[in-house]
Amino acid sequence: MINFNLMYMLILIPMILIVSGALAILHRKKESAFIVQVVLLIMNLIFAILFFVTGGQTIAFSVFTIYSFSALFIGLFSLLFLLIIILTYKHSMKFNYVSLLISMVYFGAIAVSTSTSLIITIIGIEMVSIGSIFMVLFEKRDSIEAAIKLFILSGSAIAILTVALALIIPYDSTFAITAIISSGPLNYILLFSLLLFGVGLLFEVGAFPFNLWIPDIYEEVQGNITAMLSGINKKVAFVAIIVVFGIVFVRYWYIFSEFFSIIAIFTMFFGNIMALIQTNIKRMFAYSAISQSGYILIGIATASQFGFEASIFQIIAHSFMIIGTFAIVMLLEFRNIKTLNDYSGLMYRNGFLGFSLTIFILSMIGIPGLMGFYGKFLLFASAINANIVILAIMGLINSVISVYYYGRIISIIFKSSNKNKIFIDKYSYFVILVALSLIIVFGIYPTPLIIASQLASSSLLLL
Amino acid sequence: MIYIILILFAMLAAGIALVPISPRALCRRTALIFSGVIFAIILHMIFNLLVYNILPYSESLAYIPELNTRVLFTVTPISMILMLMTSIISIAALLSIRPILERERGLSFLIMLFQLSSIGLFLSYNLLLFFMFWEMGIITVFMLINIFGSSEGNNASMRFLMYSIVSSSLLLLGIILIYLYTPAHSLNIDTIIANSATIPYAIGSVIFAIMFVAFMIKIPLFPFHSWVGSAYAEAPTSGSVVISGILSKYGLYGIFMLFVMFNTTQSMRISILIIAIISAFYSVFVAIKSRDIKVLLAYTGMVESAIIMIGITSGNTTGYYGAIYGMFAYGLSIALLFLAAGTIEQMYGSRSVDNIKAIVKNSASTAYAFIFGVFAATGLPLTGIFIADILIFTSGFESFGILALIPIVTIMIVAAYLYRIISKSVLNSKEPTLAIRGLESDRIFAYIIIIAAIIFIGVFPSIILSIFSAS
Repeated sequence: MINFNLMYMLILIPMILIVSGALAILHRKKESAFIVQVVLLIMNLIFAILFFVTGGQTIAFSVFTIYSFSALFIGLFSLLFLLIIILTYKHSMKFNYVSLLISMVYFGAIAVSTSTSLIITIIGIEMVSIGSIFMVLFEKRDSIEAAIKLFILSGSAIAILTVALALIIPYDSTFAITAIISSGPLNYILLFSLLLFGVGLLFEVGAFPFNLWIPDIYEEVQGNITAMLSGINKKVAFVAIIVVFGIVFVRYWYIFSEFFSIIAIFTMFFGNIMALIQTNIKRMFAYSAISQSGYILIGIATASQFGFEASIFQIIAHSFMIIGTFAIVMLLEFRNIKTLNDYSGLMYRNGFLGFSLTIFILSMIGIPGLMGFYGKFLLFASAINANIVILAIMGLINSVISVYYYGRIISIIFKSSNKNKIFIDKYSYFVILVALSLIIVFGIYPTPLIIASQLASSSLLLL
Repeated sequence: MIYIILILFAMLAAGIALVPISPRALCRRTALIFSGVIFAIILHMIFNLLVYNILPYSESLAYIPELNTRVLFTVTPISMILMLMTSIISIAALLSIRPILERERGLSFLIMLFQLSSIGLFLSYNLLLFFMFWEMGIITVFMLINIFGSSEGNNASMRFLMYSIVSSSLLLLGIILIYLYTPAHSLNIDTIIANSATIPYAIGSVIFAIMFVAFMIKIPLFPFHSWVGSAYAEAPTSGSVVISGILSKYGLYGIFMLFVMFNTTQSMRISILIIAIISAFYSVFVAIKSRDIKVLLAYTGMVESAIIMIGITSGNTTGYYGAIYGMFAYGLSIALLFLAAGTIEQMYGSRSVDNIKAIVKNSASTAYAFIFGVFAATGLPLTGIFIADILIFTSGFESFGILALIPIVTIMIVAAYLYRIISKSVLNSKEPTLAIRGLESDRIFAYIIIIAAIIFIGVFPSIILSIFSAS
């Protein structure tokens, strides 16, 4: 007799979502599939908030653990997928097919954030990747190249992760996400496994040496998928990094700390310097998102509870900023507004789009009063607190570099040259408005989110 | 009585909210009305202080308990005077917006926003809050120069933004270091003052140096000055008035608070004094070389900032009084000069000193405002700066001896050069008169407000000084 806990719904709802997505393919109308998905996601969001407030730890179906950390990310991903589905609903040719893929990606994200076993983590990552590859293919006719690039990237990531997993067997045959107990102080096979895990997950994150195709992929696919790739897929990989390194390899924190410090510095510089020379807005934001991943890695590199807290905060902050930004970029791309110069006078063509893009950019710069600032503040503070001052200084140097291209976009948005009005549909308006208001509200009053990330990071098994 | 700060911020917020939604003909007037109310509130505070001796007001609300941050606003005599200056200059700037020729809605909105960030900055007694208003001011000024500036405004604003972000990154680093090394992990300034002795000496001097450089960029002092000419010159008239009058005081106020927070040694103060002296001489030589009237005034402003630095570094009470008095008086005089210079630019369509002739024939009010501004900036008796100079140089002489008196030379050079401009460009009546349409009465009113304030603090210095002594 299964002792049914209401909180099992957190896992059950994504499963129901997949079933409903599969049924949606048989339907001709997209409204019903859309309504079912939205309702289920909102239910899951409510359950996640409920669980997060009550706290505790529940194991569901033997392989999923729900604790504060996973509840926070289930809530976050539910909200993010809600935004992506609303965005996709309006702008997708084949919403019914895509809705199945989206629910698959959603289930993968939930699996990664709740898994008790490394196998489930990897399967979750795989589901996220496969879903996104097919979404890329379905949304746009001429995006086969992007799909293949994404396929090769995710394929190599998963292959590397599988090898890394295989190397652990002699030490921990259960694959459980608990700290590995090894005999010696430094075991080379485990070390190799650690590095392979790092490399595989950094492929997914898009960190420095493994990200050369990411801007190409982002540029070629349709805007709503770009928003998903950068706002969700990357964040899922970060969740996996936090789980794998914050729990499984926590004994070897001094090794992965150095590893991630170096990667973080290179990623920030690579993203920012490449963004300086872009003229295509989508590519620019792709590189900007890469540099933002570098900032998030700072917190992980500190290998401290404070650092993980900062990373979690910045993951949440950046996902809303980037989804809002790419939603705007997508809307403008449909009107053939792609390059930097095309954006001139956006403020006078559509005040809402101009204003929200300015706010998103200011938040990415880290202007106080917006959500991005507290993320950066916590990240740099955690780096100094962990005695890795160089990371904080490099981060600050990168903030300065990034201001050049961010400021250039802002000054172009306000240039008054073109006054043809742009009109947007109400679905996209809603998505941008939600992202915008979250950034402003949590920018002015960040306390609840800081408490939430504190709770989430303290619920991890850390040294 | 306690809620007066909240009323002040509510008025600012109401003004900012109402300007974008009020009809086009009324938006500038709306901003003016709210600025007037704010001016009245500040006068009310000063009246309470002088008559009933009520101080300080402090307003504290829980904000981010995890970072030990509270919304902490404290009215000190210093902040009162700087707020008064902000309010006067903002009103003058709003009056100087030309209703039909300029995009008045956006300009009024940004000036109101800048007023909010300045008043917030001068009131905030928590470093995180201070940093928030600091960045808000930077973004506002960036927008002012970028959107409403001249054709070169784009580059000027980008240069300004880059310098400012370097400065605020350093400031953020300093704030993070203070947060981590203060035993209470607090960013409230009073807690930092109480705990500054417990910060290790090496860390303390690193923090001091980082934050000092951050503020230096914002004043600016010598090696970090290259944004100042273009930013001041390319801004719109009303923008350059607020930037020159208020923005440079951000850095000076920051350094002032830095001296209050940390104990400084004599050798440190002497090296800062030497930086200030070099800065004064450097900027005076750039000023006399430049033919662009706004660039010239920008570097004149730098000379004045360097002189205020002498008052701050001297480290005694007279010096502090002189520095604050100087910030107030210099802020007003440089704002007046920029107001006149902006008007001249609009009249002649050129900023070059060579092209500007016979201002007194074309617009007598502008000419006399400019002349009065020059008198005020060069420290003529019965203007506020005369008092400030006396206080600053007296205290400097007490602390450093003859070294602190050297910058008097720079005032003389500036005076000589500005008087030459007066005789060649302003009062030169041999040149033929251009057909230039008259000024709006609003702008004359703006001149009058600032001139009245300068004369008032020059004739009755005891009122301002008694605000200090009340603390």
